[in-house]
Amino acid sequence: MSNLKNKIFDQIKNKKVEPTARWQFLIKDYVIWAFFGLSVIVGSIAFAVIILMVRTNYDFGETNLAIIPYFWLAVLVVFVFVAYLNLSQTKVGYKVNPYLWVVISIVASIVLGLIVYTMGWSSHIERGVYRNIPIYQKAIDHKMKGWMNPEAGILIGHVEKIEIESFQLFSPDRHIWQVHYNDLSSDFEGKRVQVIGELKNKDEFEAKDVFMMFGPPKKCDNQRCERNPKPLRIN
Amino acid sequence: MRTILEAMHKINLTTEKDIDLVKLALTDQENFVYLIEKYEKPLFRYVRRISSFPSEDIEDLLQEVFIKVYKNLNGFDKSLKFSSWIYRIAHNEVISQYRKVKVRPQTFEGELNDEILDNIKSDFSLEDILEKKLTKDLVKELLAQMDSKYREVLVLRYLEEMDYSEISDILKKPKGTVATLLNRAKKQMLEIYKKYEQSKE
Repeated sequence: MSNLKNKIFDQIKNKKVEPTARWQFLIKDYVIWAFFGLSVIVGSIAFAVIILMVRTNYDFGETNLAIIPYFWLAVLVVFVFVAYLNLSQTKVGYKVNPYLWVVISIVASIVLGLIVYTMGWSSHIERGVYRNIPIYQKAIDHKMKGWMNPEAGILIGHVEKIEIESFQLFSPDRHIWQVHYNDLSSDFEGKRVQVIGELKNKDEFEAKDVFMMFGPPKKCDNQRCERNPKPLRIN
Repeated sequence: MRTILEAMHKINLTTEKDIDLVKLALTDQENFVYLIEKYEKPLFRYVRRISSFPSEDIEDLLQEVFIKVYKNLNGFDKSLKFSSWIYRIAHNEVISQYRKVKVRPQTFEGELNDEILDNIKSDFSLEDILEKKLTKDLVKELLAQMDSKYREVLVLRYLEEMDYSEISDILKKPKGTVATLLNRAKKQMLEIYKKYEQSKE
């Protein structure tokens, strides 16, 4: 034991050991908290898009499992877990029961997600992801293809070009449709829509109603708030 | 080393606060000797109690512990007791040593005094048999047969006389988990004791 001090000092001197600078510890702490914040933000975006997709989609009563936004659910679960991992790595991480950290991560994602949804950002985010992530785009197109049924009066696709009495629609099966509809708002350009109406011929469709898919909630007008209408399902 | 010895005369280790010793070590490397001086014996005893490593191995392990302590002095979380922090580093070093040698202790090394024995007896008071028959040798025997995670929590509570908060900081587990571990450790100790009694009959 008497030698221990000397051995330690020999090692410190031989290996030129120096105390790590304080800023390095501070940066490590900040990075962990920053990753926690980032994980909650991504989780909340996923939650906001889930609300958007569920609210503007077919009714759950239809028990169609295809309408569940699996991609966003997976993102939410993964990032809630990452947020929990980051929390547990903080200096105070071990002081709290891990289950409580999971609950805190979920609640943080939900609360922030509700704010994101209410602000109407979820549709922009979803559209951005759709445009920039090919795998997601493919999955959504595949899903939309499944919902499309022109013979039954349902057409789905992107609004390409708006004219006075009609607009062009690019459907997920890569077909261009001429849809007859008066005065479609320019807000719909480039957006995914569901068109309810009647098939005229293999390229033409007579629309009765056009709904924006995964669109933002409608704004309040004269103290009355309208929900974004759910597209109808015609069997 | 001359400076160290000179300085040691000036500093009273029992009255000086750990945080001040940390500050001193950060101002001059030689001052790190105060922290070594203050903690080498308690840490040696603690590591011996939880690991049963031979003395030479414990010395090697403590060297690593103190080098890590020195390297991480600036990262010492002032919301903790310094003793909890340094015990945590020692605990982690023992765990990594277990991983290296892939062997967990099967014996218990370390002295038990009457006070420690009384502490254990008073806390196990519901169990009459233990209260009456518990001896130092028997406690050592029982500790040796326990799972290392339970043995360590008992060592920290009764032999190192740490409170729940300190144990929580050392093991990096919530206080509730520490309480659960202690309860399970006591149960396991009683079970081992009962088996021991049965084998004697």
